[in-house]
Amino acid sequence: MSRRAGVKFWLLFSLCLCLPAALLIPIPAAAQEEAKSSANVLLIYDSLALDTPAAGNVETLQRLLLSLGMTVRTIASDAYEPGMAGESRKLITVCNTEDLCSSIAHEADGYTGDWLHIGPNPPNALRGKLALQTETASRQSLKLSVGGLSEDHVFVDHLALIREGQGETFGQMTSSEGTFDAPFGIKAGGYAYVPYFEPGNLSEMALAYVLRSWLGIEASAQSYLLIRDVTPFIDLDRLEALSEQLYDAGIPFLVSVSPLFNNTDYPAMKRYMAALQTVQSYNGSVLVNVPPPTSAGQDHTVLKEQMDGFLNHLAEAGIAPLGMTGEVKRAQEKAGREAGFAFSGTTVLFPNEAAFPFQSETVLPFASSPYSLPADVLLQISREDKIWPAFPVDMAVTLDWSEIDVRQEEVIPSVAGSWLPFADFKSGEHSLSSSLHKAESLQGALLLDGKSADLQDRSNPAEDALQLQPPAQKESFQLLFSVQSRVLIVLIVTTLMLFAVFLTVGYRFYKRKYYKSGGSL
Amino acid sequence: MIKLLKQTITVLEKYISPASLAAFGVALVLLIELFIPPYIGMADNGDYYRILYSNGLYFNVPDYTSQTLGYFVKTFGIFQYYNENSALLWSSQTLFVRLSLAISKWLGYDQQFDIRIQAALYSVLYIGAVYLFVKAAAWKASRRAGYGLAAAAVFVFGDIGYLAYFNSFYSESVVLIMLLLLFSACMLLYQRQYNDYFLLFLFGASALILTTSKQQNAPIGLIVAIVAVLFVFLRRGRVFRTLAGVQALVLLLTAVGTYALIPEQFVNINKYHAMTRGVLMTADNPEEALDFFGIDKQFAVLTGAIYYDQFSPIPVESEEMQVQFLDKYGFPSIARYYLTHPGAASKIFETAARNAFSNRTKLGNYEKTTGKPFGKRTLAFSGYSYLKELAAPKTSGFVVLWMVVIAGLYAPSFYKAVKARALRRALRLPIILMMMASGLCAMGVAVIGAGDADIAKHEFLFAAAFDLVTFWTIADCVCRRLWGPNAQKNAGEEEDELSLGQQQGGHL
Repeated sequence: MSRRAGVKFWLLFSLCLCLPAALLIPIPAAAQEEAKSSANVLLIYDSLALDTPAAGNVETLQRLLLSLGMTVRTIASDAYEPGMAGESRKLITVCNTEDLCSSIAHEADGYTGDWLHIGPNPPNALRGKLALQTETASRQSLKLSVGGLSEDHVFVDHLALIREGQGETFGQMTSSEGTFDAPFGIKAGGYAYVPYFEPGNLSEMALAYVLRSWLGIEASAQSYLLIRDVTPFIDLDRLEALSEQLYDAGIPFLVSVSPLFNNTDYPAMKRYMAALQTVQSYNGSVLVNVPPPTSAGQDHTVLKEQMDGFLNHLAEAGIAPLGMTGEVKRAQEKAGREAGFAFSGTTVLFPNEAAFPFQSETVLPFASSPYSLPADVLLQISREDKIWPAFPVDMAVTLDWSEIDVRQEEVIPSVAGSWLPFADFKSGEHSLSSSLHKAESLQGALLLDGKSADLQDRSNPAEDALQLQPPAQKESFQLLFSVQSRVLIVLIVTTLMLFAVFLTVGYRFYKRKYYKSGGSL
Repeated sequence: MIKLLKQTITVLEKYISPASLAAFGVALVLLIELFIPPYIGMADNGDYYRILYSNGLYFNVPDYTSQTLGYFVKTFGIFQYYNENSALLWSSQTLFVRLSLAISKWLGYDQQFDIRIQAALYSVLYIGAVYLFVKAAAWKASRRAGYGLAAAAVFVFGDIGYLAYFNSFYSESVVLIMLLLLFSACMLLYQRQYNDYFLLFLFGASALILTTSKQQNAPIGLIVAIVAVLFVFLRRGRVFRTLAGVQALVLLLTAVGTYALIPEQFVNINKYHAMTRGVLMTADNPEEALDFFGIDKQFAVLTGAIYYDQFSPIPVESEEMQVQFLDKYGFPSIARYYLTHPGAASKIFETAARNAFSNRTKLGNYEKTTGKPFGKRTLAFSGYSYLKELAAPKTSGFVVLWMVVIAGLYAPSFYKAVKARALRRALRLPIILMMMASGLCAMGVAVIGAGDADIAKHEFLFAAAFDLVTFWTIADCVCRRLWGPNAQKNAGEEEDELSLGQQQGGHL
């Protein structure tokens, strides 16, 4: 072998050694982070449609996408930067204001991935792919129907309609006056169009059917009954009675409970825990609500510690919480999400109580996140058969405690008689870990720290009289303080007595002097 | 040294009276502290917006929020367009803020309001009040005692704990000035130093402004109205009696009106604290305490909670909280609770007493531009407040003892005056009692109405009343107006008797 050939051989040998090594070098953390932050779905909206019937549709859409397991990045069209759409595999554009729609279409021009447009003015790219022809109608009363469900008298002020299109259609929008009959949505390949979407009516569910198909999700969905706003201040006897009632009716249920951070040694807390034990013993599952921030702001570190403390309290009382609940805004901000939701992969997100500006951060989905829908919204929907059709997404049908408190006699029978197929939350895989305990459910079994959390045999805790235990240090000085207090009392009484004596003596002296001088006069 | 002191007094006597000296001394401290850099003032504790926005002012410093609690801010923006903010707070302080604003605009500063204009306005009133107070305190005093009292007045009432309020939007500044004017007017009336009609007007005006300066002062209006009734019988003239009678009635109605005009939100904040940081914290068994008010015992977990807590099991503004908790009690029921639970009352009184001897808050005194650390408080001219905070025994026992001793000291002369049916001579004790009762009432209202939340600031009136009464008693002792062979003469009571005799003689 010549010298040159030898060098070549060594070079080749070195290259062969380097190649697998290069493959084994870990991807830099930044690159990994970048991969994580790239969203499955980019959601661009032109306006939040505040103070209109469509208000909240962007937030609802975000919740739906998270419940369907998507990573979502939500941005306003004026924050859109060229090329952003290309970073995501799927794009959803929401047009709430016709005047602003054109800017969205222009910004996403040239996007070649899957595209769903919601609202009027579909972009030309979509028009072409779906062979769309649309028209508009105003001030209409609609009948919405989808998948065997229907809702009458949905009043719409302004509406875009699909006149013609090529692809799979979803649902129907029929004018009450019979002037039109158009599909709710249309989809062909990765392209889809939904002309109308407002939260609070059947369009919420209809959109879920479109999204399920567009995202290619095939897993079957379950529905659960969730009772919201259970706090330590509600009528706990009533909560226990309700649990028994639901148990007797064969309805498994969930309760979203408010945490208590202070005075956890009080009997009020013990009664709260006892009520939750009863709930659990009647086949109820407990979710813990993360409190929204007050006007004073919120320190996330404090929240995390306090939440952890409450979860430990629950576990020590034999209660196995299986997940968290909270307003969607908490999921949108990273620090708040880590502080409140980091304990469990199971989270039910509620709509925000007040309008909240969207963060441009990418929101990751939860392992399990049933979509929350108020029971009254669902129960106003008519169905063709007695049996409900399969829902497009896992659903938590919510009942507010305040509503139950006012009209328990009506609410519970209407839910029980609704034929809604409520599943047992414990039959799914859910887990929650605090610093000291781990609660989990597996195929119907509820486990706490690996042991069965059965509360059937648990005796009702006694109603202890409230004895606030003073700190130990105070005890040791109690004698000293009581002595000091007595000494002070004695001192004060003595001073007062002396004072009275001086006054009397002084007055007598004064009187004597006065009489003397009077006498001399 | 004594010789030098004597010489100084002799020189002073030629040119300046003790009252003028005290007024001049306080004016000098005001000038140095409030109007010469570094300016001393008080940081906002988050309450400024209530008085600011309804009076046409706004925060125009970009990083205002970050300076809250820590730095004094001296400039604020003046609304250049229609102000849609309705009055959040009904207070006589508004008069002073609006007047300062008018002065600012008149001087040509119509875009930005400098708080020092308000401080100047308060300063003028305060200097006048100090003058009148020392004039009354040093009446018929020996030269040495008179100038000594003037120096002591500068030390006590020129303390930065008091003066810093003038460079702030807190109503404590109005409370201080009006309390000083009220007390001085009463004592001057007792001493007959000025025209009775003028003093009656001064008393009425200061009492009216004091009562309406803060919602908590509503009961003080009632106490002052009782003393105002005494003034009706001070002279025999029909005009004077009618004026004094109408004044007493107006004061009474003002007290009632002040309480009725309290906006609901502020009632709720204080109400919440009154229960969570008052009743529940002092009760041995919070559940039993809640039972007294007919509230669900589960609310016991709110013991120690604050309205502005970051997390609450249910939002404090919620309907649930309103219906189940806040609507179930009020000021009268809490007062009734303390009356029927002496143990809890003594505990809350103890808490109040612990915080009653502090003239200074924890708020920062310097502007951010001075480069001082956040929340830094000035040490200059703060000798009295530090001394008081260190030396005063902060117990309820001391408060009771102080009241008993002071009342005891004035009781003999009162007894004698009543026996002699000389009402003017008998006024001294009721005035002293009015001040002490006002202070005690302020303390009571603070704890009954808001528990221990923000207690040091809520008890400002007690601190000021304590200083005034103690100073006055010491002045009476120093000037030998309480005992000794010339007590009656020094107190001006002989002259009073004489004039009374003349008046009666004249009538007869």
